[in-house]
Amino acid sequence: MILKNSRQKQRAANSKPRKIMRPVTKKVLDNGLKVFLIQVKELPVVSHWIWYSVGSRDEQSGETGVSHFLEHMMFKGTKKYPKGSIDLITARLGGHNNAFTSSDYTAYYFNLKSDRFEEAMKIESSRMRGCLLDPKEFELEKKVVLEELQRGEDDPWQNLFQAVEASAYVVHPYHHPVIGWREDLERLTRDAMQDYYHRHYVPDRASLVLAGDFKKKDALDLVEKHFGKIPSGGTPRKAALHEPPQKGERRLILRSPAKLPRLGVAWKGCTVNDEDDVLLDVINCLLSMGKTSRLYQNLVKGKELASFAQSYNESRMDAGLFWIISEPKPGVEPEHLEEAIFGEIERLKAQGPSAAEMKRIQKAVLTSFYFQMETVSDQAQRVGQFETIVHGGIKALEAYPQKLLAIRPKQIKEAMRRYFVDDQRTVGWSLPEGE
Amino acid sequence: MAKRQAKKIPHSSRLRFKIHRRQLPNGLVLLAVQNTTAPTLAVTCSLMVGRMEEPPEKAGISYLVGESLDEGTQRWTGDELAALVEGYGGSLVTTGSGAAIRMAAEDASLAVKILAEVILRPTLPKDGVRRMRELALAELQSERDEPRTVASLAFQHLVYGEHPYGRPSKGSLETMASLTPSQCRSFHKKWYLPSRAIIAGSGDLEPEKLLDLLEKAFGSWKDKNSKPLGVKEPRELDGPVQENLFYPSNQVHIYLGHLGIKRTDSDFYKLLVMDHVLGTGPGFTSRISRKLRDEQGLAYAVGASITHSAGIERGMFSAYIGTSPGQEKQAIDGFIREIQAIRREAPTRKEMEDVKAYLTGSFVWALERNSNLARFLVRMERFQYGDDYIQRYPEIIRAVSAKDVRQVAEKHLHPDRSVCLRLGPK
Repeated sequence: MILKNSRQKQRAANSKPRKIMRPVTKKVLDNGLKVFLIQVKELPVVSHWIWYSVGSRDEQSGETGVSHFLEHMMFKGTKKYPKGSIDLITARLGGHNNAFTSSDYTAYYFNLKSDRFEEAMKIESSRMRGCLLDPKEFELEKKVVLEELQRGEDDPWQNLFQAVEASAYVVHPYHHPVIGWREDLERLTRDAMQDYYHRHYVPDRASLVLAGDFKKKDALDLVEKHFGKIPSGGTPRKAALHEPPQKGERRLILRSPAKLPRLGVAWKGCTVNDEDDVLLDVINCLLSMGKTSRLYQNLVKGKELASFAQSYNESRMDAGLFWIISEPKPGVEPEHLEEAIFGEIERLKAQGPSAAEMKRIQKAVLTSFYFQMETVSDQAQRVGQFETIVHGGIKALEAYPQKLLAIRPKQIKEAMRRYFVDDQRTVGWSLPEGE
Repeated sequence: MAKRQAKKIPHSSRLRFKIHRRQLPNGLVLLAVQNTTAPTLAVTCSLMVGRMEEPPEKAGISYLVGESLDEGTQRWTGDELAALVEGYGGSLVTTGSGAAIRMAAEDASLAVKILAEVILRPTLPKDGVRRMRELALAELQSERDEPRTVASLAFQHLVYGEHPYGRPSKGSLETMASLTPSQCRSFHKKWYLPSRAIIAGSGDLEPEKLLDLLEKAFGSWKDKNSKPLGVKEPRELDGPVQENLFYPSNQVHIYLGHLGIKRTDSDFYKLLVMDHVLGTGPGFTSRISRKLRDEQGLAYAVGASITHSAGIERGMFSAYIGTSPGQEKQAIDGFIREIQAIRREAPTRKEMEDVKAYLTGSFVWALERNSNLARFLVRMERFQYGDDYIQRYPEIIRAVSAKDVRQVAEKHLHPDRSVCLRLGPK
C-alpha cells in the first residue's frame, strides 16, 4: 500500500506544468488603453475588467482613502448613467458587477452573458471620464465609507494589520490604510476628489481585459468604438517615496476590547514578480499551506501552542511584507508562541527544506495556481492584475510555473537568510485591555 | 434560414452541462458533470447530518466529528492523508455535514479514494479528536471577539428557542468540552449512512468515468435505519421580542426577524422574487439597501432575506444592519416601513421586470466553478428540483406575479411578531 502511494507521489512530483493560460491577444489603442482578450468558450459568458493603475500607494498625505472612496463614487452617476442605474442595468442583464481598491490598483468588473457584454463597455467608457461626483452624493457616500471604516475598527485583526503596516512603513505610502485615516476622509472635499479623478482615470493609465465567449474581431471593434475616442492625458504614474532600510526590530502593542491575544509579525518582502517572489511563495507554503506545513505540524499540532498560524507573502508593486499571524491557544503565554514561531523561522533558515518537502510544495503551488484560473473572471483578473503592477505582465504570469519548478532547496535557504532578518521585522500584539 | 432559427434559441439553453445520475442499491445518489474550463476536479459528499441529530447535551458533536474525519482513517494516519492530498496539490475540507475534495482532474481516482476513506472509514483517534476539540473551544472563544457573530448567534437563539438551530454549530464551551472520541465514533456509526448522502463531482473528466470511480469506492457502504431524534418544530413567537446586549464595539449590530420557510415550501420562488425586491438584490437594487445605504448613508452592510437560509428545516427571515450608535431608530424604522410596504402593496411592474430579468439571467453564474457546480448538483438532488430544472427555472420565475409577491409577503413576514436584537455600546 505504502509502496503504491510512494509511486503515485513520484509521478505527481515529476509532472510537467500544463498549459493553463489560454492565448492572450494584446492591443494598445492610440490613446494608450491596453486591451487584452482571452477566449474561453465553455460557458456563454464574458468577464469584462477595467484596471486603473492607481491605488492608495498614489495618495499624498492628507488625502488618504480617496482612491477607495472614488471607487464607491463611480457607481453614483455619470453623464449617461444616473445614480443606481449601473447596478440596475447589470441586474436586468442577469449579470454581476463590483469593484475593489488596493494599495496598487483599482479594478471594476462586470460578468455578463456573452450576447450583452457591450453594455459593460458603454458603462466603463462613460465613467472613465464622465463620473459626475455630485456634491450631494459625495456627502452621502462619505457616511457609508465612514461606516465601512468603523466596521473595520471592530475587527481586532484589521486593527492589528493596520498598526503593523503603519509601523513597518514610515515613509512609503503603504504606511496608510487603503480605506484611509478617518480625519482625512472627514476633511476630503469633492473638488479634491475630482482633481484626483481627472489625473488618474485616463485610458493611458488603464487596462481593459475581456475573457470569455466572444469573437476577437467583434470585441476589438467594440473596444475601439467605445474607448477609442477618449483622449489620453493624465499624469504618468509616479514612483512612490522610497522606504529607507529598516534598522532594527519594531514592536507594538495594541490594547483591544477583544478577549484573546493576537499576533502579527511582518518582515520586509519583495515586489510582485521579483526573482525572489516565487521563492517567498514557496516559503509561505512551507510554513502554512495545509496540515503538512511546518507551522501547523509544529505549533498547532506538535507543541499545541497556537489555535492557528498562517503566513502570507504579500508582495506588491513596491516591496511588500511577509506576514505570519497567529492566535495562541487559550492559556498559552503570548511570548511562548512568539518564541516558537521564530524558532521555526530559524530552523528553516538553518536547514532549508528537504528535497521531498520541496517537491510536494512545488506541486501544491502549481495546482493552486490552476485553481486560481477556474473561471473566466479568474483568468481576466489574473491578467489584469499582473499587467497593472508588473513589468512584462502576461509574460511574467505565463513564466510562473516554469520558474516555480526550477527552484532548488538551496535557493530557499538563501532567501530565508536575506528576508527573515530580525532587524527587519515588525512585531505587533493585540492584547486585551486592562491586562 | 438556419441562421435565423439559431438566433431564436434562448441564450440559457446554451448551457451545455449534462447531468449524469446514478443511484446505488445502498441508496446513495451519485451525480457528475463535465466542465473543461480548467484541468481541475471538485467532488463533494454532503450528508444530512448536523444539529438535528445532536441531543442538547452533545451540542457540537456533528461539528467535532466533521473536523476530525481527516485525523486518521483505517488506511492512512492523519499525517499520511495530509501528505497525500497536499502532495498532489489538492485540498480536502471536512465539515459537520461531509467532505469536499479538489484535485487536478488527472488525479481523480486518488481523490475519490481519499474521499471514501474519510467518509466511510475514519478512525476518529483519541489524540486527533482531543486536539480538534481544543481548537473548537479556542474558536468558540475567538468568536466572542467578533460583535457581528455574537449578535447573530444571540438572534438565532431568540428565533429558534430550544430547537437545535437555536444553538451554535460548535455547541457551547461546556458541551464541546464534554465530548469524547468514543461518542464521536458512535455518532459517526449511527448517522453517516448512504441513504443520507449525496455525492456530486464536476471537472475536466468523463462523467461516467467519475461515477464508476465513485460507485467502486462507495458501493459497499452499508445502509441502516437510524431513527431521527424526533425534534419538535420550532415555535412561532406570540408577539415582539426586544433584546439589547452591551458590547464594547464602535458599531451597533441590529438583527430583526423571525422563523422562515423550508426550501420545499411551495412559496419559495415567490419569496425569492420578494427577497430581491425587498432586501437582497445585487448591488444596491433592493429597496432596503437602496434606501438605508444609498439614500440615507446609514450603513456599509445592510440586507434582508427569507429564502437564503431555507433548508431541510425552516430557515429565518432576517434583516441586518451594522450602523453607528444613535442611528438605530432610523434603521429599525426603515426595516419596518419596508416590510410593511411590501405586505401592503404589490411591487411595481418595473420592479417585477427587473428582478425577474436578474434572477433568470444570472443563473449561469452558479454553474461557473467546479466546487459551486458540485454543490448545486447536491441541492438539486436533495430538494428534488428535477432533471430539467435548468431549463424550467426561467419559467418558474416568470410565472410569479406582483400579486403573488404581496400575498406571500403578508403570509410570511410578521413585523409585529419579530425579534429585534441590538448589540453594541451603551
